[in-house]
Amino acid sequence: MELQDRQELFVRLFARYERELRRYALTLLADSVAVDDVIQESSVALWRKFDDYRVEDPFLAWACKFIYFEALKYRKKWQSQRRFFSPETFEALAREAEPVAEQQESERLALRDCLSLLPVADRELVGLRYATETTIASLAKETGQTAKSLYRALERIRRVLALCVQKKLAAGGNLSWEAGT
Amino acid sequence: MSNHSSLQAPGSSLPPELYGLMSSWADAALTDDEFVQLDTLLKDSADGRQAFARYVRMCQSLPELIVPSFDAAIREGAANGERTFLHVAEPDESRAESISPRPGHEQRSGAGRGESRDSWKPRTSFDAAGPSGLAGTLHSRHLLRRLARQPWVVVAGLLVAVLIGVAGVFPRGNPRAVNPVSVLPFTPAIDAMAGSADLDSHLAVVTRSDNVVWESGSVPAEIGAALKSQVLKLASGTLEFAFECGASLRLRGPAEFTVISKSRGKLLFGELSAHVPENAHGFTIDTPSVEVVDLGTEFGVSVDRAGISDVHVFRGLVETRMSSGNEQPGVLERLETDQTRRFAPDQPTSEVLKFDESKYPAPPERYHDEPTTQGAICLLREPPKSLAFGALESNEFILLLEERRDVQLPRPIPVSLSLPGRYDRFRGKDGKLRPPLHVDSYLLHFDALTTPRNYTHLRLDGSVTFPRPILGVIAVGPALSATDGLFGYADVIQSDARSRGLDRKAKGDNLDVVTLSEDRRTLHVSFSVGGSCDQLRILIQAEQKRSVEEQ
Repeated sequence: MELQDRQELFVRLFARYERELRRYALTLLADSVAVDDVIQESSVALWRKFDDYRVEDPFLAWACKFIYFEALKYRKKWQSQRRFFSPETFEALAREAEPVAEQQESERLALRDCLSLLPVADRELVGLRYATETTIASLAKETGQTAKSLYRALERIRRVLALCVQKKLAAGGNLSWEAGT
Repeated sequence: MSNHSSLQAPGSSLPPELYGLMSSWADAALTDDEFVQLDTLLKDSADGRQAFARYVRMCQSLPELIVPSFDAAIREGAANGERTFLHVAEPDESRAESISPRPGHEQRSGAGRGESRDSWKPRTSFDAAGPSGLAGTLHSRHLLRRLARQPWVVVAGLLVAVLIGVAGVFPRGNPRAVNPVSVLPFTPAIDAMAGSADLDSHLAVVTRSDNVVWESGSVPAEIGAALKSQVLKLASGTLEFAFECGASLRLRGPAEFTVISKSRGKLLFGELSAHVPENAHGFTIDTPSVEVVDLGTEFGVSVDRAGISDVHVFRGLVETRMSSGNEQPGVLERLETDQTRRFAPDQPTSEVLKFDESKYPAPPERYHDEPTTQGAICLLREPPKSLAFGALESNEFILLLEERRDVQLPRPIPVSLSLPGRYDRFRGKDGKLRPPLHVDSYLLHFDALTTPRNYTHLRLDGSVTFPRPILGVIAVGPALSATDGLFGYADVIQSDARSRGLDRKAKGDNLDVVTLSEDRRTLHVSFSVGGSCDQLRILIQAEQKRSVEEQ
């Protein structure tokens, strides 16, 4: 394969799976700042080793190994200054949380459906939190609610969404709530 | 969101505090101690790790998914007259002028409830043309800010613009009718009585469940679950539930019963007994062959598969009206204590029967020493499986459950209040109860299913009177959690400390108010709906003479 073709392939694959890789890194590190660094370092490492990649292999699984090692390096480097999961938790998460593209797409679709079933007020709050990046503090100030109440409201909504996604996936995505209360 | 068993099912093997910790993590509000706690939970629980990984993925997906739906949802909701979150913040709005009736929602009556319920009405913050006021300002400002920073949102923004442009073609079904937690099949009570049914509110609460096996297709209802207008199908066992009006039923399976309204139900077949207090007179049970109207009594009804109904009055008076099968009113008859009648669908008159005790479950009885409740408070006869935040939600009921009795205090127990008076600020340590005091413990639990927007408007009031003085009330989350082991049942899942208790410094509409009467026997509560469950642990003097003397 020509270099240009390989470059194109790499860019396409990385762009396609960056989201999943970022989530995997976040699961391992629980720190979005750390994730930015790890993704950056991983992308460089991936490109350097891209000659070893065989197109018939799943790119996501291959790339996750790089995320894992870069996350390990990051932990070692920042161990004394940032908080990380214990080695046991990290290893268990690395082993069990490796993403499967199809599964993540199913989750996304289920989440989309679950969002659409939220009451409008809940969707609004989620929208303000995630679509507009309003901080809890500023939202509390501007709406006159207490920050604590907003934290709890978001906790509740996210829990509802998480359970909803889980149920939808367990039901094969065919669960109907139209008759629900 | 009324199916609580369905809520618990998927996360039942998860540590109860996991979602709270994950949420704090998602909002970058996790303390170091909580981080260690989260780490420990994940280390010890494979299910927890799976849940965490899914939660991370979900939180990462939300920004991508919420943007297109954000504006559309707001407009759709506004067009349907739905309450929206930001609406509450519009400062100069006249509440009274903006309130419109809630479709299908009955005005409540009863002590302490009518006034509060008045304010529970939908309002909208956006007109059909688009956002306005603070809502619009917030939305526009933040979205633009993000648009400037996040190139991918440009695409989503374009999508939003497209959605806004075509909002008029979206279906306008009422999103209130669906809810993400109600995932098990729900059978609305649609029959001849549907016209009087309140399909939107909780009408009753399951207070006890003895070996209940549910028919397939029926929604299992755990103890503490609030029931809407729905059909209960029991294969076997006995289910006890209390209607909002105060009437209690004990239903013995196999049976099929329809909850129709807060003071009416229909027994399709099976056996039940009813206890109807004075303030619930008029409570009605329908069967295929007769309508039984309570006039102050305890009575039993049994219906066979052919619709033949037997009615027996254990105590008091009921009025029966036979179903005539046409538009003419059926024959009226009054039954007194120990009278039994049989009503068949095709017979013009009733038949006098000899009382057969085995046909009816024993009526719901009052316990010795039982506290009396008023308003929105409903006493559970058995502890529920879970009191975790979100497990037992209702906008209509505050649950009261008995915890451990005659507990000798092993150490001084800090309480939030112990003296008569009105309280709207709550501290963890307003006094201490000291050993060797013996106490009985009760827990008040109010977990509304309303959305965040609503809690400045929905308020539930109620009072509970105990047979002995209240010695102290624990009102804040950490103190509640710290005393679960001492006073709570070990097998009841409790909320984590951050998701329970009363707000310590709430303001205005969010204020929770607790009033302890001068004789310290009655506690009146006025709970505002919040983003967590309001809980109070009430410690009353135990029955033993010893503790009285120690007082």
